Amino acid sequence: MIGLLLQLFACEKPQLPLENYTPSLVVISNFNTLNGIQVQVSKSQSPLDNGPTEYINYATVEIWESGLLLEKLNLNDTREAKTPFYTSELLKPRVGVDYTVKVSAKGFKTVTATSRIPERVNLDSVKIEKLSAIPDDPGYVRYTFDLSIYFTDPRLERNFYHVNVFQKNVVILKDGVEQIEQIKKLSFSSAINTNYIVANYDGGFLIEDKPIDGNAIRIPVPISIRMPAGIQNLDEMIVELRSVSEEYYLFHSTVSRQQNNNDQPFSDPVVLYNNIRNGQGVFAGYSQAEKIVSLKPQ
Amino acid sequence: MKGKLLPKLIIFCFFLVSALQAQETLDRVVSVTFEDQSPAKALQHLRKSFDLNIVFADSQLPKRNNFPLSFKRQSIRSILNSILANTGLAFHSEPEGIIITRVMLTPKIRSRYTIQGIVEIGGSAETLIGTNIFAINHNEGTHSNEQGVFSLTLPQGRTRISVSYIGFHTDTFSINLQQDTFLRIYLHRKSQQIEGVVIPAAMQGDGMNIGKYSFDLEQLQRMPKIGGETDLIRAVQMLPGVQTGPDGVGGVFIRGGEAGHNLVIIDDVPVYNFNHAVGVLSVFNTSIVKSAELLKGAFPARYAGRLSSVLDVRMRDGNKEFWTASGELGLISGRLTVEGPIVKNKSSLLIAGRASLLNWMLKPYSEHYKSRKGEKGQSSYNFYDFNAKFNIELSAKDRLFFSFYRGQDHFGNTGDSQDTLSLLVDDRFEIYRFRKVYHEKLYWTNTGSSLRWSHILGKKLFSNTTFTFSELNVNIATASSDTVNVFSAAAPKIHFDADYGRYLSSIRDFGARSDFHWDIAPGNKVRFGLRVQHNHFVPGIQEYDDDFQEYISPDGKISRRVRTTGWAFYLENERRMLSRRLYLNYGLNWSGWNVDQRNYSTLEPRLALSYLLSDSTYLEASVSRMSQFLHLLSGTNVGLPTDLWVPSTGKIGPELAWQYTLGFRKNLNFGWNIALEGYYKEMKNLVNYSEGADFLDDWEQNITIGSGRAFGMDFMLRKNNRIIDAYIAYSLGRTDRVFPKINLGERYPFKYDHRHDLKIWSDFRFSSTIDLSASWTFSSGLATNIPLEAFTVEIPGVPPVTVINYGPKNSRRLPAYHRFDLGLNFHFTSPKGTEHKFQIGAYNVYSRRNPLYYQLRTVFVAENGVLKKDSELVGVHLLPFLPSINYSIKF
Repeated sequence: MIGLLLQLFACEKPQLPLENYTPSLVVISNFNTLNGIQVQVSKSQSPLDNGPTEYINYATVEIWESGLLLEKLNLNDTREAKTPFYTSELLKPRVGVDYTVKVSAKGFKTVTATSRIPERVNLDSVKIEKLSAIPDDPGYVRYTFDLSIYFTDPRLERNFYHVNVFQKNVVILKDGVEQIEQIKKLSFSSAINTNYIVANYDGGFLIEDKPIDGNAIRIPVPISIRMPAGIQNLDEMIVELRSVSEEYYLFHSTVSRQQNNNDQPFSDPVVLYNNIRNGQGVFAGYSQAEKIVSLKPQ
Repeated sequence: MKGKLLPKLIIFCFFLVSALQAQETLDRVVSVTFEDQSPAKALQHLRKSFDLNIVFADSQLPKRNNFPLSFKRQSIRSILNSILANTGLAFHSEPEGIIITRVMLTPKIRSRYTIQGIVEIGGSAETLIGTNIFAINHNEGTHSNEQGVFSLTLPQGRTRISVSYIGFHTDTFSINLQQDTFLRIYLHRKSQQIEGVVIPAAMQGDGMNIGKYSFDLEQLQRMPKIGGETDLIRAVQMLPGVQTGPDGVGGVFIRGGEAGHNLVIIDDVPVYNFNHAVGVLSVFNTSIVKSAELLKGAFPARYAGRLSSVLDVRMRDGNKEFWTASGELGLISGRLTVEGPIVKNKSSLLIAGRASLLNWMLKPYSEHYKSRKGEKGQSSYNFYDFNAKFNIELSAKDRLFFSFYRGQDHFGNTGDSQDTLSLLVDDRFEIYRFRKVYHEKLYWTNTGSSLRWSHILGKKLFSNTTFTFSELNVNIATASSDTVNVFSAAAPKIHFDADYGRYLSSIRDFGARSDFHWDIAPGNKVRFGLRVQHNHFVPGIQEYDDDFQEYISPDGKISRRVRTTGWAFYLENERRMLSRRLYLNYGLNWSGWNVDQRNYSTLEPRLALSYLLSDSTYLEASVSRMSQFLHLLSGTNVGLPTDLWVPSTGKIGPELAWQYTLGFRKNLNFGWNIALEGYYKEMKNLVNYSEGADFLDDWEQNITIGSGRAFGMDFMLRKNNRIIDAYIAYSLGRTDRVFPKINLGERYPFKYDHRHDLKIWSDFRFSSTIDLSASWTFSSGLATNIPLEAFTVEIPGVPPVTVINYGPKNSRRLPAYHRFDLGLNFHFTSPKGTEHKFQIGAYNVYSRRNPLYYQLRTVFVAENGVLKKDSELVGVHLLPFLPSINYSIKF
């Protein structure tokens, strides 16, 4: 009996190994055809460590294509920017090409990751629909409408999207004459989350095309804006449709779900997607399309 | 004359001596063992072994017959009677030997008659379920059904009947069967002091017993208790193959199944939430439980609707002979039961209530705790259960039963805190006074009732028609306000923000069923029936009003209401064959579900067999297909009442499982029993929340359909005699899951994948008034996740966020769970007949800190006058050492 108990206890290996934590490299990069490749390199921390993020500014960051080194990235000027990024100067990434990032730094395992920029899916149109205006606080009107985003999902392909909506408006200063323009990215509540739509932690929402494959899509985004009644400079809505790689979608959707889930002690944690071999983070490509629509109050 | 007389006298004497010798031969006492039950071989063996001249024709004899293989010190006559029983053959002695011939029956006389009867408890007329009724000299038997009724058809003539039930004195009597007969049999409970307590019962005896456990009220009351509370579900958790979370939290998980895969019925009414206090206790008031049977494999066709287990609980009917009352008081609750006849021996009424007594401790403790944080307020938790049962004997063939249950849990939490801050603004001090007030309520209510009509259709056919209603309501209400008063040289300002939230969910179930039980012949029973149910689901309605109201849909609903209709037909045959060595139960259940104008149906074949290999060794095997159209979604890992029952819909099919079992059991010497059973279970169409979703989301848009598998073995070694009753139950198991929207679609271990699970229980009876019950539980740690590392995600133009890497889902293990419980029972009866029971005990005697989960907590600490953020991984524990005391009295 005692032998049995000992054997059972011996089988039991509670694994709470937070003491001897070994950090790894964290690589974060979303790249597209317009801006070259920017890579942020930092060091992961023990979850018990509340110190600031340690960025790695002595790493070697290389971009490879089919076994050929395309470019060794340079660290940006960190005197002005708070966060160091490694950026490409010559390389303009192309659609459909597999790029591999290789990052090495002393004291860490070398990490690699591969991704590509998917073919761009264009926006068919962006429309203001179901517009209504009702008086709000004195001197103000509340405009309620659906911002309808139309695009056609390519058939028989797995596609992923990130839709961003920006509100460009004019703020009238106290003197009533001076105006400034500002652009605000819209954030969405996790209440919109489904298996195939996730509110992104940083704004916009992510879409997986499984239930809509090959269809012409209309996405109505309900919006409510309060504006001064006499304003002449009307708001503009800017819609950005990013066609993103699967790595992009999985990483950002799991980060978003985790950010939304953080305060619930009884919930199971969200498992993060990671495509950095020997490290953490994401290296993912996307392409983008954009349309602007003006709000025309009645 | 003399010359003629002498030869005649000699011849007469010769015949007389021969006849006497023949009679002597038949009365000769011998011991003999036969190889098998072939009458021809047995007669040849007798002829050879005892030098007998037995005359018979092989062609007249059947190939096999029911007779014991071993006879010890029995007459040849008795042995021959057994060998030739029911063969239509008889024997008589002749001078030349024992002649076996065919008996010629008078055609008009029936050879078999039926004994029909009901078995009740002496002193209360409560019916007994599963009583063994056995005709000793015919080697035929049966058992009473759920209404205590039985039917046994036997050959005409005198026969001895034995009626036995565990914990009761066996009643043996003779009956001269010349016509169909109705018997009302009363069994009397053994005094507790000498009762052979068995937890679980039913490891001995024939029939399919592996994977089936029966409980008895007396047995339950001896087990160690939490705060003096006897609990059925905690007894279930002590069985092999039954898993749960630390201290019972999280639900019951059987052989790798989910919490919602267990069909729990009380008097045929499904109970949708059987937990009090997140699973530490259950809704079953053990004062009114007559019987409880757990099936975790080899499911008969009459059970359907869940994948993993059936817990069939029957309420007592109430004493039909005299009024009686009993009460019980422990640290957690008090209970009172009153029962008695409305019309003596015709109808009875039972009423029982239980109410928690936790608030006397919880309220002052929470007040004290909150006041240390500078907050006024308190937390409260209470629950109650109410049970009632009425039954009436309408005629000799008709009985009507009505039972009702209602139970509610109520959790409340209030707080009111204030703080004042003085800030220098534009060279002037402004005083900010903050006030936060909150009020939270969570309550859930179970209601169930059934009306059953039991009818005896014929001497071998019984029916039950039952109407059921069951409902579970969950209500959550929160209200909070934040006020900031700003006192400044300029005009004072007040900022006020109030939030209000309400969440409701419910499931309502109306059902009707007819079940028929047909005792065709000894060893051949058929059950068949049909069931219809209508469900109404309100899976989640939320009303919310705060700054983010634009995100709430206009009608305040987060999920739609769904109405469904389900039905099932079943046919089941229970056979005893091959001289009662083979027990066979096979059948088919055909279930259907109508929802969203779509029909689903599933065919569920069932097969269970038990074969007697030798005197007391049984080999058992089973195959079952199960399905369920109801799914329990859990958004938490601790089994809160916010877990949501949802139906199969137009897009979600039924969950399906195949289970295969193979095992053996053996009754050993000196009261030892051993049982071992292996199982393999495949589950398909399992329904779960997608990762990151919870009960506040629209469930239909946030679920994922996957599969699971479980395999392992359950072992039990038990000892039972007058002084000690004890068992060791061990399970070795493995179970995992794969869902497209969980763990990035990779297979992962199920949270309750306890590799090892060991339970040891014993009850020592020191004297007629004192016994000591002790149990020790060990199980491998739950599969879990802990934060492994943190890192920052920063993209140009986007503010950084810190994320946590937890590794693959359930890739870590909590420390092993173990706990030792103790209970010392005193019981005595006063000269006036009043029964007193007293138990003192302790839960978690060595106060093992078993973590429920680990949480990353951040605290602010002052270090050298500087405020510093500090994080630690904290184990959240539930129940430490808890003393218990319990007193019960029965008048």
